[in-house]
Amino acid sequence: MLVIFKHLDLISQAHLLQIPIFRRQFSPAPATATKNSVSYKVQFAGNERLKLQPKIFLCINMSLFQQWAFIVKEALDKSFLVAKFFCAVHVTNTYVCSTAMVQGPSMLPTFNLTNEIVLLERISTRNGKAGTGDVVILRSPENPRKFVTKRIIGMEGDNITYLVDPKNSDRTETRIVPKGHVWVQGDNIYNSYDSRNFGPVPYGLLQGKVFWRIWPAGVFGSIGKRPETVDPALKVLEQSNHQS
Amino acid sequence: MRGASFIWTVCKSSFTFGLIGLTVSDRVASVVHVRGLSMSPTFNPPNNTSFGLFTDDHVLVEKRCLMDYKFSHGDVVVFCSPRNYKEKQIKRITGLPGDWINVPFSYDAVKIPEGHCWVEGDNPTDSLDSRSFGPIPLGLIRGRVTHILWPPQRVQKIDKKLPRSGLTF
Repeated sequence: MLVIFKHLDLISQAHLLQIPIFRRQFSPAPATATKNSVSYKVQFAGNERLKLQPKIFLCINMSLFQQWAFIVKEALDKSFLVAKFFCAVHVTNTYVCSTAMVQGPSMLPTFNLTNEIVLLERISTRNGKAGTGDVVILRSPENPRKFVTKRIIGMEGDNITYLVDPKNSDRTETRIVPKGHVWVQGDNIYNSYDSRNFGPVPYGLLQGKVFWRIWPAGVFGSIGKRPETVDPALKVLEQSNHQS
Repeated sequence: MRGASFIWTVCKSSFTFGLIGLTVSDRVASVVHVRGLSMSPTFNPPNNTSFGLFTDDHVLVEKRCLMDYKFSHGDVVVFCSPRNYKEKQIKRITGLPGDWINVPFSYDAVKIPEGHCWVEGDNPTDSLDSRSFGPIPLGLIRGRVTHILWPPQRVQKIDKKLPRSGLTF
């Protein structure tokens, strides 16, 4: 109401006032216009059609309670809109796709050391479609507040042969991934804390599959396959995993 | 024309309520239907002979605890089964990281690793729990059960029952 009082002298330009609460109530063009006055048809919350004319305070017709009720109703409408927006964001983030920031050395040839922003989709992990070779984000089994990015190496029932300590020795171990679990490993096996340390992880910990890189702009694009290793011994290992 | 606009309005409002409902059930609390006898004295007591949607217990699961994953002994939690991620189970936490658990029916003691917990059903004879699949990661937990809601005569708060045995420090 105050807004109208303040601008009553400018009321001839009232249809230009970009005040969100009132924009809806003003009809787009003046209803009648004479030389000295412009009148608008205004619909107030009380559903009474009023004529708003310069120098006539029609708002006085509304009691203080009506004015407050009007303002409160508008505020509630707006906050409901904001709540709806946040709900939509939450549902998109948890059920369709969301963004994540990855950093650290464990996925080195695929993701750089510095922060990169990626898109992850949550439909395939929800339906059990994420399979061998996909890059996934999962809750760390050792600290539920932390997320890690790894690549799925084997699904349930696979025989996984891996180097226990690739920096120092060639010792390999073979394990069978139990039911409902996956085997995850970083692409940079020399500096990665993954299933070789904490064992196979339950499928329920997977949060989403990384499928697109959006930042920095230079690397915009999809996530490729696992880069080929140069180490011949490793290559043999990977092929044996692949066949099993 | 009027019918079309009516259908449109109904669609729009049901979509909105779906969004809000999903958000609330993900972030605040939801209602879950308990099946099976694995938590028997607490949920679905054995004197209840017929099973079905209306006689089984319905419980309130709060999700606020998922903000920080802080749980204590005796909490009843809902979690994804580690064997099948589509299946949800309700069990009681009897061991937290660092505890030693005496595995029943054997002489082993297991130390629970960092970020894991030991879950057991209240009905040891009819329960598939950590005694068969070992400690589970805390990240699998999907909420904490606080109240029984449905059979009207059994509406009550769930108390943190101390585990019967198996807990040694």
